[in-house]
Amino acid sequence: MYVVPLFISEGYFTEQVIPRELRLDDWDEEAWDSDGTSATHATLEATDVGKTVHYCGPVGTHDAMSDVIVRRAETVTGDPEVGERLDSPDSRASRAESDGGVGLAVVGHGTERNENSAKAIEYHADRIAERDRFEEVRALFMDEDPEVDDVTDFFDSDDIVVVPLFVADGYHTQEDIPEDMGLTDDYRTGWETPAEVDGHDVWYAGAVGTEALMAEVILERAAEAGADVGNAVETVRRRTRVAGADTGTGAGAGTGD
Amino acid sequence: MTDVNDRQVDALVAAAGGGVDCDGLRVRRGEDGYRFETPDGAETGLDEPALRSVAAENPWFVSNWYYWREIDRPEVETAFLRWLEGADDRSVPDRYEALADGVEASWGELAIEVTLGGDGRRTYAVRHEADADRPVGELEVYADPLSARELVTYDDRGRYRPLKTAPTLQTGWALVDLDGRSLVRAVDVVYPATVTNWHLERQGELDVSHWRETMERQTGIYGVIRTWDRGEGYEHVNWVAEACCDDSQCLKRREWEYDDDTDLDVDGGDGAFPCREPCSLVVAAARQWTKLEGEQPRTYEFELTPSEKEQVEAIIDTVADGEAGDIREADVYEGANRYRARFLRAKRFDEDGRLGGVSTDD
Repeated sequence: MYVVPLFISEGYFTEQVIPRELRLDDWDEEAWDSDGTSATHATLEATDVGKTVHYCGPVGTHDAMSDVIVRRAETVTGDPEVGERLDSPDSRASRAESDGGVGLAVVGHGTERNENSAKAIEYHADRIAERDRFEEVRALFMDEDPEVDDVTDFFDSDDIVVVPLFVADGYHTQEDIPEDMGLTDDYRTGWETPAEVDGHDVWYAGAVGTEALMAEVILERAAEAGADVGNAVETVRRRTRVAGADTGTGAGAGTGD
Repeated sequence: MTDVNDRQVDALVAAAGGGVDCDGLRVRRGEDGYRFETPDGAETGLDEPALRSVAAENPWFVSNWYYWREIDRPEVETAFLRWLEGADDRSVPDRYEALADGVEASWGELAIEVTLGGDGRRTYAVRHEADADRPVGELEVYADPLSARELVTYDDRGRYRPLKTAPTLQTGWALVDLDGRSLVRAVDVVYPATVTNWHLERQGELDVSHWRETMERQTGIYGVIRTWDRGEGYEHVNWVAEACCDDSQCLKRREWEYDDDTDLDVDGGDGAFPCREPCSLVVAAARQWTKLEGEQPRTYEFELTPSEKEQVEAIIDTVADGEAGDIREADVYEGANRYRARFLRAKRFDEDGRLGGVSTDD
């Protein structure tokens, strides 16, 4: 059995609650041998049901998650090349692009209680920054500094795409963060996309976990732990491609770094 | 098309060497040829053409065997699909006659209909039991079992359903033309893990985790719940079960008790599928009750008329039964009517919202 936690970071739930509930008696946190974002999988016995469980790291720390964040930026702007430099040969004019470039904010929950929570967010922000696609990339948080409330303070770019690294839409992504960022005074009345905040156009994406490409990350985790997933990864990439994107390499899903 | 197709007969001939035994059909190859037996009688000493001919004369038995034994499916699926059509209780001819008109089964709020397609293939359709008598044309029709995911998130009033087995499934839809695999997937989307746990229970292998052991393994913010068990009885758990696990709140049949030796006094319900441990909603609510129940009772003095006392009881009953929204403005004879409640508040609360002007704390 392959178990892939649909969680953003390594922490209390992935390291204590899930192994406990699965009765993985021999589990301990060392089994992942992780630096906080590097867990791949551990193989254990669920003694109560007599099954071998390949317990994978959370989806949120997988490298492919960087691609999902970028994909999310593409879907919310409706622009498969969002952030691409104007001088790149095959770029096209796009709605979200202007002379000021496009900034990307990756937003995490953050908590002072576990440093791994922020690490996962910073990990992807760094990886995406290294691709040199967006003008600026920042990791921001709800419950620690730098805070998402001040999102526009951290960007020079005219357009800012905000992608919350959350698994599901709920209180934080649909009520808290939109109000904190000043997209709206009252979440119940909704907000514009993009919304103008302090002279910037803020494109708020909602939880990255609702992006269809998330399925790929789950499959990658299982496959890397040894599961035979057939051609499912290819199928997911094909089916989730953003309309208008170039065929083939698409958003760089699974390629590069 | 005949009722029994060549592929099924080929398969029967191939399987006869190892022996076939399914729902009254017995076929085997002996030294003196094939033997073909149904509850109506046996034919022996058959050569292969004769076997094929006898098989073709018994299309129901042959296609029934083929459907149950030659289609690759997990044991749990087979058990569930057979249960739906009463395969262990009714003879093949009985069942085929019934299936021609459609056999109805119930699973939670789902009404599942089994009908017979060509060559003994079963076709399944699912809808809300409240829609059982509505023409399909009035319903939103789906063929993909995964589309059920769209149907289970919100109730008919658009409210999120945190508990998938709550009796609040939305109405107005039908999933049709499903094969066995798709049906089981659809049921699993609507009521996750219920088929598996039902099957485990039938095999005597359901691993029940009772209240005590479940609460003792909680950690983090839920770790506090274990302090609610003080070795002074289990009345508090009776109240939890009555509040959360009654059939009016959850369609699972509660099989967990206080502990291995101590049954709760509250009925577990009549659901088809079992509940094997206090669920996360019970745990979350129990955390709140653990905090609230740490308080000691005290005596307050209020004045109420007899009718007002009964009105307070009516309001609590109405909210607890989820019926507050059903009481109309004109129903002023109902204690939980909005005007009646507003009148009571106007009369008995002070400007700080305190009942009878009595302070909670002093």
